[in-house]
Amino acid sequence: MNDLNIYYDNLTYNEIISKVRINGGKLVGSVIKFGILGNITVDNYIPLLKYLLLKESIQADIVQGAYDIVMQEVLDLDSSISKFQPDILIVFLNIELVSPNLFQRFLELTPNEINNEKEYLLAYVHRFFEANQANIHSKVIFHLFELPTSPAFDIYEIQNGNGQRALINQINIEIIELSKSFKDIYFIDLNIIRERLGCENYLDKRYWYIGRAPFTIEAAKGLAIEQFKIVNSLYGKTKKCLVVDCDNTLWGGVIGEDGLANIRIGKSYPGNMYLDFQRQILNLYNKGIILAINSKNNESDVLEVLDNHPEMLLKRKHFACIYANWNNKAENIQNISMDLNIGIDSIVFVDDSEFECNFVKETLPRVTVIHLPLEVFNYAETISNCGCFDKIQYTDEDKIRGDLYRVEVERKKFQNSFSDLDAFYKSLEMKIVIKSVDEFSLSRVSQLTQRTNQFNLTTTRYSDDEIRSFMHSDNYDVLLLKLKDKFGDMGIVGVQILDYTIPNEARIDTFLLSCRVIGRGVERVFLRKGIERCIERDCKNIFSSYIPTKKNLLVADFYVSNGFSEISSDENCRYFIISRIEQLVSFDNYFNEIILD
Amino acid sequence: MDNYGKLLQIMANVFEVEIGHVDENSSKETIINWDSVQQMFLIISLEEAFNVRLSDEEAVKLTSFMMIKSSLEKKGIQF
Repeated sequence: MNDLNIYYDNLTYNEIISKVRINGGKLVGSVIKFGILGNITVDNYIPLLKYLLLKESIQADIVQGAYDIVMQEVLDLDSSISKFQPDILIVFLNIELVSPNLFQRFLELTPNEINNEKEYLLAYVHRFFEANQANIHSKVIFHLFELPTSPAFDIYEIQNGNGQRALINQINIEIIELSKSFKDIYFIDLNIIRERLGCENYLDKRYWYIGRAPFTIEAAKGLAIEQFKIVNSLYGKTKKCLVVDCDNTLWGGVIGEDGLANIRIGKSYPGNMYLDFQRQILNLYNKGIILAINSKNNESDVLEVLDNHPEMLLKRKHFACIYANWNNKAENIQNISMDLNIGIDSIVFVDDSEFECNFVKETLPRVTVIHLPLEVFNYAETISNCGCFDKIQYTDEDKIRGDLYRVEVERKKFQNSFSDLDAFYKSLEMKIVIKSVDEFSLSRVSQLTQRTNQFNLTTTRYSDDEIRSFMHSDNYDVLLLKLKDKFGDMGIVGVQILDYTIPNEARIDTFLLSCRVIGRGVERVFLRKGIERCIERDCKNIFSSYIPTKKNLLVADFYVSNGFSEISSDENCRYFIISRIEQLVSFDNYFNEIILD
Repeated sequence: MDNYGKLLQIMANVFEVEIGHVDENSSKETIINWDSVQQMFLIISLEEAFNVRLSDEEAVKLTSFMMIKSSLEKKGIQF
């Protein structure tokens, strides 16, 4: 069983409920509004979800709908949930209560009646999604139905293949299918949580009968973690980089003492435990997580293992940067964050040493630290279940991100060999493509709006569907920027959204660049092309704004330094205007080619 | 902290009252906040803190400091 308590910092339930009540329930900082609806009692998991979110500096403002009137809450515009307009609507429908026929009277039903019941359930869920989309517009987290663990036909069930479990499983599949015609519906499979814990530890029979509250404290902890992962991913809090130690982490033993031939890594015991751990890390790499090494070792020893050990799954090419030295590990992590140009809070550090973990935790509290368990056979699961890297969707860029960052570090080394920045930029042989968004690039574009924090003027987050609606509207242009240089193709690294809703005016709704390409003059080309586009559409004035956040100070003066005039400002926003292309500040052209599609 | 103090602290946390406002006379009648949801939080907290298992009947009936104390004592927790 994986240890859920790590997520909760080994606090007791009682400590957690008292912690989440501090500030007298007053909400400060970033707040997410949750509506919870269902036909079961779920109060016991709520403090746990609040606690996990608090650790990410998110306050949960939660309103529970009235018990067992799920549909009315979304249909009735005066219901507590409708009025609250939650950001996220969490739905618990227990199948035993929503369809007692299927669950308890399965043996008495004819095939026809079974089918009717199934259709009724699907129509019910469909109507719920529809009403939410029409009235509440929330993102939805829907819990798929639990399969019965004592199915009606017992051992016969699996022989004929169309018993109760198969049917409910089929209903779950069809719910996922029908959800595709709605936006922002996400699922949690309660069956997985139950499998991880075992039925006895999952269902609290006492409270099931006392108050229709099915979840044990363990189930509640597991459930809160699954929801937390989804919320994290939706709000761009997913971590970007895994920093790993080497000795007794990637392999068994100490390379500096044991030597290449004697460290433990490979297909047989005990090396196979480390190999499985490496496989999990490689999975993360393939899902777009950047890898880095932070180890107290001679660099040459570590590189020798990466390059020459035949059993190593992780090679030098998988790591965007390698810090194997005798500096303290916090310093190395700061360097990694600078090399990769990512925030220190998007880094996860993994080490077997309690000392190193505590040192990093104390020196860099914003780094997520994972102390590996004593048992090496639990390493792999610790990483796969850590919840830091889970994403609700994947794009093509994710698959190659690890490589992109490694190339970026090479690029920096190349840059250090130039004393003149201009000469460096020119030598990069950069090629830019600027074009309108299409179906293929849409999810990368929305992902950039979700993830970009530093070079982002307004930090407005958009979903796929919102980008799609801009794409189909005559009132908007969604431009994307692709960049290539002699080191490789960086893919889509910039987004600009222009809003022409007011006649003869344009408003730069969004202007952002991935942190990988900051400081090459790309932004000036991109801005100029956007302005040219507005002028082609006869816009007399082009307005823009800067909304300050903790992370985007870098671009506070972006518009002014490019020739815009500031027209007004308040504490939340500064507004700018430009009217003629000649007002734009000119720039050195470092680019070999600029292509407009 | 002894078990007496531990129980008072748990009750204070669950019912959101100052530790000074719970004592051995506290019960569902004296604490306004003591509803069925808080009762569930209380039972979970007790089971975890004292490493005991409470029955369905206990989960419903333990609605005062003294009842909780005597029930825990029967399970070998000393006060």
